[in-house]
Amino acid sequence: MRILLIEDDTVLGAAVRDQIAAGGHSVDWVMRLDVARDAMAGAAFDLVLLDLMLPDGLGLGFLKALRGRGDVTPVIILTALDQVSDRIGGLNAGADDYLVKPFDLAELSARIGSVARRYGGNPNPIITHGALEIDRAARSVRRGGKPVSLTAREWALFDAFLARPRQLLSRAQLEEKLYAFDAEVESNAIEVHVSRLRKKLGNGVIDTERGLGYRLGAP
Amino acid sequence: MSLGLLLTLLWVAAASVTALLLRGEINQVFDSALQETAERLLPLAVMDIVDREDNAGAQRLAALRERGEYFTYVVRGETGLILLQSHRADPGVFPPYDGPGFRQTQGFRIYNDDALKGTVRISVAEPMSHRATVFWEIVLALGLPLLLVIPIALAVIVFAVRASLAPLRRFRATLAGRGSSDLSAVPADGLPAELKPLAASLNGVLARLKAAFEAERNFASHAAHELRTPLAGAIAQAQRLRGETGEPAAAARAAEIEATLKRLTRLSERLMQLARAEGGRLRLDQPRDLSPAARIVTEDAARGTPEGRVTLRLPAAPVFSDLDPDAFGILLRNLIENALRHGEADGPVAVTLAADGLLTVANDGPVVPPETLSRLTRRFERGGAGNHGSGLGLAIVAAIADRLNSTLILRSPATGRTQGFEVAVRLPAGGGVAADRMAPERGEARGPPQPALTDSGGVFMSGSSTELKYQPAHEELHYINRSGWLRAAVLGANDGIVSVSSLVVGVAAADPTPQAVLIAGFAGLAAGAMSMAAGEYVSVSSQSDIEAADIERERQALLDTPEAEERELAAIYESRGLSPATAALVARELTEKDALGAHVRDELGLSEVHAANPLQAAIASGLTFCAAAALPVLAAVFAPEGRIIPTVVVTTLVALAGLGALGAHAGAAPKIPATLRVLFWGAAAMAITAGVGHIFGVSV
Repeated sequence: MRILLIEDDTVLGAAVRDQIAAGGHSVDWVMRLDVARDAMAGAAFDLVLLDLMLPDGLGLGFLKALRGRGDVTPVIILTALDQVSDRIGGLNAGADDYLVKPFDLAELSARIGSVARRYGGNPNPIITHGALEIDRAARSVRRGGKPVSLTAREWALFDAFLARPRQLLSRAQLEEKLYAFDAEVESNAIEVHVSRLRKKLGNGVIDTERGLGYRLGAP
Repeated sequence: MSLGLLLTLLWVAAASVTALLLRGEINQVFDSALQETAERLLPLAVMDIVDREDNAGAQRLAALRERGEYFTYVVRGETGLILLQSHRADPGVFPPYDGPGFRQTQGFRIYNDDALKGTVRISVAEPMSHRATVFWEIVLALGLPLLLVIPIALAVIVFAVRASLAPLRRFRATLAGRGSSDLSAVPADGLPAELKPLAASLNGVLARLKAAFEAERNFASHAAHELRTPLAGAIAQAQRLRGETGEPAAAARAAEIEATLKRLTRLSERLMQLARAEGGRLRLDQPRDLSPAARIVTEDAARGTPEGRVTLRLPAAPVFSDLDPDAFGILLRNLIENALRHGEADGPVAVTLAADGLLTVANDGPVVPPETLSRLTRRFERGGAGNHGSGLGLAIVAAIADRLNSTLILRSPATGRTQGFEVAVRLPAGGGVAADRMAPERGEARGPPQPALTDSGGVFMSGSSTELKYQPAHEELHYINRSGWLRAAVLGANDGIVSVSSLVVGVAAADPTPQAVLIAGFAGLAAGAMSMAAGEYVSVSSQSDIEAADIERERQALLDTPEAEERELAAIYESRGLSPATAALVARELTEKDALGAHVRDELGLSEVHAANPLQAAIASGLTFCAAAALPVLAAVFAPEGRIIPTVVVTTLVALAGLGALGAHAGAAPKIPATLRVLFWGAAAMAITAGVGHIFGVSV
């Protein structure tokens, strides 16, 4: 998934960025709302993590403007404002979830996964795909009952296919989900990860549409 | 009303003094008539007797025509033989002659005189009943109109005062009928002009109070934010460290750092909540449904616990309450967290919010001994050695319940169970009438412990009332509002008494005939009343004309040069001591809300728009003057001939003394200096006019 983190505290922002990146997602971290607006205009994000008190304005106004434009990108609010009224205000403004600082990074990851699944149309984290038993919340895959270990990148790629089972994903789209703006991407990185996934989960797990991209194979 | 009574008493006292004086004077007049009659008759009788040939027998003078006569007389010789008598004279009435002078017998006033060395003695008698009849005729003739005038004057005074105070009563009723937490401005429409500033300052105080609460609240949430973000960063970094390091020792150390940071977070959060619970505002102006807040808080607190461990039961209908949802959130979160922490591991926690606002949180756990229960609400107290909590949770809940005038009820075992612990708080519920309905609930809760509680073996703890409660300022308001209209009444009365009595005294000093004095008195009364009324009318109406013109100019200026007007307003606030930034903000916000009102108030210094009704003011001051001036005029009417000046002076001084004391009493000021002051100036005014009258009277 490609995630936009809007947070002005450097210590917390760095930790959150590392945590999300460790989960295999790509993160773009900005500290101001104007930069965030530019980023949203330049790329499609799967999720936004939004702080409410930012140096150039309030996150709530940003969120309202986003929803006012008809943008349905999932948004999780990360904030120090813990009052019930703040929370009601945030959810009413169109946030999908509301996390009060300080929070556990593991909980953040869980909520990101839960919001993403809700948007993928299947909130149930347990999926059976042929011989594969997949738990998206626990990030575990069993093949024929035996656990398979995937690296964070491999999992993030596989999860992107699971999120949109019937959709064709181009190499550029997949790169975007796996790498942030400034990351150095090897030209064949996606091919390498796809071939590793096929080796671990079976050849039919991902189909190649030559010249167009990849999609999840039939079970 | 007591004012009317006092005025009546004063009036009656003055009338009584006048009547007494009148009686003395009438006696003097009649005595001198009696004496004069005797002195006139005596030489005639002597001539008649000496000229008489025969010295035999009494001679009864025949009446010229048949008529009743008041005076009868006898002329007797040395031996007591009656020589001459008036035709109706009854010799039995006259006691034996014992020298010249006045005699008083049963029912008669007699004057004796003699001539020719005591050989011819005359006694003239006048029946006392005649004098009494005359006296009562005069008293009735003068008193009847007075009896008619006093009730009318009192009724008019009462009506005028009532009418002018009606808006004040409405204002007081609005104030008294408000909820204890309602800090919105009180509408001051229709208040008398003198009271508008009072209402404005009251609203000012309310606004400042509201602003202070808001500021306090903003500070708390700001401080929370400032603390939370760095703590969140540190905790997140510690977690990353734990996840990234391969060394078990380093991971353990990172875990310790994380745990300590989390404890620090909880503690700072609780302190903030406690500050908020004890200092912040707990009530809103408008009631809101508590259910969504209950749902959010329960969901939030239940996160990380097994599914179904925390259950929430809500009534089907919304639970309207003017309790601030944030305060409610703090309260409920602490109760649930406590229930989770101190209950049996993974035991259920039941949260119930009833339609009447009763909030209950119960868990499963060992029964808490009663002595521990009573110590639990104390700050920093922990349930037991093994529990990790800041110990502030229940103290926060107790502080909020206390300020809501609600009772925190702790029960163990929980209702209907053999174990567990239950906390119940009654929240203000029931919409806009919450404040009114609090009273009976409070009374009920503060009474002896209900049987249900003692039956369940629980401990009943009641909070003491420390809620910041707004009460209508009864005493203070009273004095100020009284001194407003009473000052005007005392002033008018004083004016009427002093000017008219001075006039009467001055004229009497120049020309003591009753006609001149009475004409002067009545003319002075009428002229003074008209002049007071006209003056008041002109003054009030021209003032309101000027105000209206000023307001119109301001309105035009706001249309033509709004920026300049806003700057001007900001400059005014700055000159009153606000910082430039605050002044600009205040000016901006006031301009957005009601620009004209702000300018009228703060630039022109007018309270709201129009002041008093000129006609009303004119009638009121004319009537007060009339009522007061009537006193010296009546005293002059009652005064015996030749005694107008002393009667009027005494009446006036008595009335002035009463008025001074009354004014001082009404304004709760020291009475003696006020009375002396009024007396001195009244006496001075009368003395000066009397002197002037005397000079002119002599020279004419």
